[in-house]
Parts: sequence; C-alpha cells; structure tokens
Amino acid sequence: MTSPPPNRTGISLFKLPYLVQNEIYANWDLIEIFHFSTLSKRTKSISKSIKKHKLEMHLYPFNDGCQIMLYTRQMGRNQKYWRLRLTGYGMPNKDDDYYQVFMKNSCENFVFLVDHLQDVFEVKIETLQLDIGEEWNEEKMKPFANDNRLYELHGGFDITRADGRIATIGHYGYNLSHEDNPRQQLDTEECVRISRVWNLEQSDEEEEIEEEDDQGYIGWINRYKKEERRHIFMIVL
Amino acid sequence: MSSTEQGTSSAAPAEPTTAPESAAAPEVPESFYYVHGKDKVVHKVSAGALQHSALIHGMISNLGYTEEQAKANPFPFENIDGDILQMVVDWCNQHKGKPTPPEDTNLPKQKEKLFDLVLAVNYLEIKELLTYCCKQVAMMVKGKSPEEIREIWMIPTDAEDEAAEKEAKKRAGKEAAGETAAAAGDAK
Repeated sequence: MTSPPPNRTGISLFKLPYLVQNEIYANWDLIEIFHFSTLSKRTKSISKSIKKHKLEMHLYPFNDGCQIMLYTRQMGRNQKYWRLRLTGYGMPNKDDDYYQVFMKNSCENFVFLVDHLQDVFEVKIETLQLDIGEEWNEEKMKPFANDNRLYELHGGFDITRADGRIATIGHYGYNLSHEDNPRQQLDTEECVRISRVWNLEQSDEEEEIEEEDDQGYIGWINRYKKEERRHIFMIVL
Repeated sequence: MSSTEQGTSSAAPAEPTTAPESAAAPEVPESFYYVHGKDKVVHKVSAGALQHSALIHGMISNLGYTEEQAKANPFPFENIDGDILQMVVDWCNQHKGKPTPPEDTNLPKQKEKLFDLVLAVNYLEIKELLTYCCKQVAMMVKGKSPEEIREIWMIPTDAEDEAAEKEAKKRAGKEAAGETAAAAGDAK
C-alpha cells in the first residue's frame, strides 16, 4: 500500500485480523454497509460478502423526497425500511428520516446507484413509480401478459433500454385504459394531437395549450389534459 | 522469564497491582496468577477473572502452576502495551463471575487506544470484551459520509490498492530472485 496522506490519521481497518473485521461488519446497518461499499472495489467486494437482510427495493426516481426505498422482506413490526435521498434533490430537512446518499465514486447517478444496490445487496426491484400516481409491480403487469386483461395499451412508442430490453413508453392518460373506464373520444384526440405536436419542430400549438385557462368544464378539461401529459409509464417487455 | 527481568521493584511480583478481594471469602482459597505486558509491570489476577481469556485459561489448565510458580513466572505478553493490559485486567476483574451486560460504556473513546485494545483482546481471546470493542468500533462510522469513513478507517482508494499490489509483486519478485541466487551460491 502506498503510504497514506499525512493528514490521514486513524485506525487502518484492514490491519485488523480478518475475524475481527467480520465482527465489526456484523454491527453495521444497511447504510453503513452501503457507504462502505462505495469506497473502493475492495470494500465493495467485502460488502457483498457481509451477511445482510433480505430486501426489496422500490424506486421513485422523480420524487422530491426519497428516490429509493428498501424494505426488509419480513412483514409486521420487525420490518425495517430505509429511505434514500440522493444529493441534488434539495436540502434535507431536520425532521426528515431520509438517508442522504452521496453521489460519488461508484454511485455517480441514479442508474449506477440502483445497479450498485442490486449488486451489493442482491436486491430485486419490486416497483418503479414514475409519478403516474400508481405503482406497477409484477402482479399488476400480469394482465399484459395473458388474456385476462385489466388494462389496454393504445400506442405509445418503443425504446431499447441500456440493458437491451425493449420497453414501451406512453402517457398514462392517453395510451392506457382500464376495462372499467374505457377510452374517451377526448383521450384519443388528445393523444393524436400530442404526438403531432411532439413531432413538430416549432411546437406553437404546445404553448397555446399551456396558455389556455378557463374556469368550469373547459378549464377542467384543459387542466386534465395538461396534467395527464406529465404522467408517463414504461412497460418492459 | 526470571524475576530480575520483571523491571523495577515497584513492578515486581512482590507489589503487584492487585485485583479487588472479594468481601465474602470463598471457602476454597482462590488462586492468583500474574501477567505482564510490554512495560513489564506485573498484574496479579485471580483465576476466576482470567477465565474470561480463553488463551490464559488454556495456559493455566495446561501448566498446572502452583501459586509460587505462577508468581515467579508471570505470563509475558510483550506485544501488549502496559496500559492496554491494565484495561483488560480491570475489565476481567470487574466482570469476574458475573453475567456480562449487553452494553459496555467504559471502553476507551480514543481511536488508537480502542484499536490496540481490539488487537489485545483478540489475542487473549476474550470473546465478550471483543464483542463490545467491535461494536464500539463499528459505531464510530455511524452517520458518517463515505469520505469520513475513508478517513477514520484509512481505507485506500482503488489507485492506492493497485499501487500496493504492484509493489507487493515487485517485492515478491525480488525476494524470489534473491532466493534463487542464494541457492545457486550454495550449490557452488
């Protein structure tokens, strides 16, 4: 090892006997293991070998509060959870129970962070919430894979994700309908119009919509149309 | 180790730092043993207190010392600083024959001292005290940022690890070359 910088004083963890190190790691909570795992390849490898809770992960990438929640798998009073908040999402309040995640080293962005957590904690993504007001998990996605449909998909567009899987992206309000709530003419028209506006180089019509404001039904429709455009979903095939 | 090697007269077995005597005298007289650290100061410790240390307990069981023999031959722990050994002896005396509490708040707060204590306790195989120490050491990084953890624990970066690996390989290569040369010299 190269000699440590002169300002570095403290205990060298790796100079402790192996069994002692393990005893120390056994006292760590998820956050300490996580922070430790981001320090180097060696600490990441050690972190992977530490005995940990079985966890599930829920992602809220566009949420202002916490972006990742990790739960222990056991239910009831003993269930523990950790709410992670990434730096760059505003300053934490004094009363927040979020854990601040420092985006450095191996956790340079949200995707790297999720990959890192999956790797270190062997945790599976249970839900991904993209601010559509509703969570999607395997159970809810089942109707798309069999004939017993609850939701119907109308259009949207396909992308190839970084992991090579094909995903369909669309507006929750316009490209998806529930069997109890069939699509309205308004939805279809709005969907076609939005697609057209998106494809325009100068989207004057888009600005026109933003400016529209009225009270009553028309106003409500306009607000609804505006709001629904923000709600997108992704279905991974 | 001879008695003359035990340092100054104040550190000799005649005036050891004694364990607190039990108020209620036991029916069978308790046997005492003697240990010393790097500073050669001898500590008198009861067999009951020493039972916490699997290492010393094993040594006592195997040696079958009489009290006189034990006095003349304190167990030497040259790799343990005197003040650290004193802490260990105090802890053993304090917890002699008692169930160990779930927490121990009397451990040193100073990082270097705690580090030395962990090493000593691990060497002496005092399981309960090691558990407390490790817990205290683990808690040192509670609520700290990754960079603070790196500072506290002197965790090398990837670049430092790679440089260390290269250096170790180079050293191993040199040693191997030296051995080969020595073997060739012997053959001649």
